Amino acid sequence: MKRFLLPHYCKQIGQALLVAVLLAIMAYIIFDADALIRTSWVMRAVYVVLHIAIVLVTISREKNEDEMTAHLRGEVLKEVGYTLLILYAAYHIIAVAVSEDGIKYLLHDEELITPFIVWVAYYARFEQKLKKLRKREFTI
Amino acid sequence: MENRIRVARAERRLTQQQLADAVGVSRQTINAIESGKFVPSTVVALKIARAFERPVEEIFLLEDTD
Repeated sequence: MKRFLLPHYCKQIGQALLVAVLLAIMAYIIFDADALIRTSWVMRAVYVVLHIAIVLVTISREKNEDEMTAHLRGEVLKEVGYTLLILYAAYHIIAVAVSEDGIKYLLHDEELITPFIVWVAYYARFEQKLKKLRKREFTI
Repeated sequence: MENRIRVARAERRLTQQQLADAVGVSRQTINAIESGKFVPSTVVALKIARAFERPVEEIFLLEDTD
């Protein structure tokens, strides 16, 4: 995992970008800069910068990247992943139960389909790794 | 799991940083292992034991609750 991470300075760049995005949003709220924000390039720039910042902060090394930080990284991803999965399932159950249209609108909403695709990828990869591990078992 | 890293370090007059350098982890990791907040992998445990020239069972002890 360590070899796939960006250098530590990328995390600092990402954090600085996050602060910049936060300030832009605060400026919008405080100064009610509707006209400025509605200019499409400003919104696009903020959106792009936000996502770049998120990626930089998430996949950069810590200053001292070692076994413990890698372990923590894995643990947190697990916790967040399971929590999102449960929330996603709960949302779908409730939405379908209360919606008059049933599942029609859910199937057309890509923001709801994406977590499903992520879950499929996770499940497929997990099963693949498990199968590979079991193939290597030796029984005496 | 208990460990005797602090005692072993004191016997050899090793700082946490020196042990960390010998094992190839950060000082924070050694601190976390010593205080029981983090259980190291087998490889790191063996490296720590080798740094002290002791068997790993003398450095890391299983508790009944493990």
